[in-house]
Amino acid sequence: MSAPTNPASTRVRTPSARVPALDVTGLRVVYDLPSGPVEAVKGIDFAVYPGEILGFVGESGCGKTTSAMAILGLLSHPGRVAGGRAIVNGVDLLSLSTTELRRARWRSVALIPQGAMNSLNPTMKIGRQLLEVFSSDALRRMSKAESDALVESRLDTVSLPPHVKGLYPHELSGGMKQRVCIAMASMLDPQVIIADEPTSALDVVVQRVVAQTLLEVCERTKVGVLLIGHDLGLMAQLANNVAVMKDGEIVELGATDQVLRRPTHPYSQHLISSIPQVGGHRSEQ
Amino acid sequence: MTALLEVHGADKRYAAPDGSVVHALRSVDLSIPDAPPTIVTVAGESGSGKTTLAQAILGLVPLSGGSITYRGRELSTLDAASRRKYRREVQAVFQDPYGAFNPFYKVRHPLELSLRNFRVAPRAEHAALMADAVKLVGLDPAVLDKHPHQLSGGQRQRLMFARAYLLRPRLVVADEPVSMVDASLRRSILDVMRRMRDEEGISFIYITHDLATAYEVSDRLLLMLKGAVVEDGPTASVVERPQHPYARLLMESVPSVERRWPGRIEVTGARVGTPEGCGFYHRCPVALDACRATMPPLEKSGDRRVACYADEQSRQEGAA
Repeated sequence: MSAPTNPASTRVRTPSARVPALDVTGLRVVYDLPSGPVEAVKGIDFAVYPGEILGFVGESGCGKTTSAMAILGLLSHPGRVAGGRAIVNGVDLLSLSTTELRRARWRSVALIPQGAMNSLNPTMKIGRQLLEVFSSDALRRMSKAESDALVESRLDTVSLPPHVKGLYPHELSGGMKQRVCIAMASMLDPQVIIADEPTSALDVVVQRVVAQTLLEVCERTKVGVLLIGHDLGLMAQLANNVAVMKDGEIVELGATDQVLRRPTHPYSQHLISSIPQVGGHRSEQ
Repeated sequence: MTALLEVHGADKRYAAPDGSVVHALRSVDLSIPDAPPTIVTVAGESGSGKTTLAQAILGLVPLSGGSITYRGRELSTLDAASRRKYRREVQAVFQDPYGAFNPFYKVRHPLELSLRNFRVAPRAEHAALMADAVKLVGLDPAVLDKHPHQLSGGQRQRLMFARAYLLRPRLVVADEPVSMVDASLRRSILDVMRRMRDEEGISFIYITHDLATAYEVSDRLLLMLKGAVVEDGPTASVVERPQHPYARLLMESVPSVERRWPGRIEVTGARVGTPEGCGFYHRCPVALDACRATMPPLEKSGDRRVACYADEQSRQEGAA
């Protein structure tokens, strides 16, 4: 064991000396409501390793998205980080000022938000939107040929043809837009990508293509991915490790096969037994 | 015996703004038996034509070709009284249970309106009928006096089924009724459909892209792709042993804890199809030359019908 472990934590460490891309310890989020403070995330620990996907599962309201937003400094009022550390590249994201954090976003940690494909700017061509993540300074130093080549190479990593750069979002299908969002998240080669339900609202075949793209980007660029979702079947396809969240706590964290096939916590057992199966046994009618 | 509802050769073309023609329905056949009450799923990805089919059945979209007959009579020839009867006996539940209610009124309002509109019963009996309907969908009659914002999406959607039930329909066309409802509440809505089928003898056309719920609730499954039905058969056998190459790709792509996706999907199709040919031609691993130019017809194949030349060929070889 290389890293210090908190004895009270539910953390499972991969027994190796690898440095996590994102190392979160004791993360607490509190909402200051008129009725008093409510603890939405109760001191969670987890690590995302380079080139690996950590799945965050749990029902709506368990705190999975809140945890991700806290790491990115995107909690909305009255939520606030009440404690903990989130280390990327030796820097604690939770201790950064607003300006420093803005610089860290996209460069250290990129977000693919829920319904990302609907957050593309409808009046801007895809190529320009991909370049938006650069500062205007960096853009000015780039020639048109350089920026075109960069955009085309990034589109290629998500299996989109070069001409997509000249299209507007409405000219793309949902799956293509979602792959543009993956390209945008990997634009500045971040250490970590946080993806919040990146394939929900897609048909299963399209979902599989988008998931496959995310997996390929992760393997090729060695970015660590925190994948938030509630579809355990999808997690089984993508995640190396899975964390099960309930009421602001991680109740189980381990290798995907271990957690999904032999869950030890009663809540994970319940969650897994309630997945509707296609082609398995139909529930009694 | 006459079928309850029969769609025959339904064809629908839309003119796109750029002058091209979108073929939304390509000679679709669908039949709902008069008995027993049946839940038929129409499944497919976005753009497959499943909602166009539902809207044609509801009379919201005129067909470009083909016919829809209800208890032996063609819809387009119905007189006003019969059309009104059809409107009562074939009910609809739509995707969005949030947009279906007027926020200013209590939720009893749309239920009452339906009763009054169709003069279902004397006004004195309305309260009892509504209480019955609300109980059937597993809610407490006290919800009738709430406003929409006080109810969850699942409760609202169940009220929409209660509203349909008030009119004692023979058939309910439910277009993605669970897709906007929280995953944990979906089962309660599927239960309502099942109960209405088993206890009240109501048939359903269940439009969805979600194979898990289709598998759970329906008796028969029609799978559509690019406006055409590619496979039609008993739900369990289509899901467990899909025959059409697209159906196979679809079923193996459903993410399951039990098994890994086999291999990678090539994103760019291997070849280019034509609008007249099979909608799966460009990605199909077993495509024949004939699949490019013409849509294979639905042919009987064991317990189902499949629209695939390659499947037909292998059947003939098997028989020979």
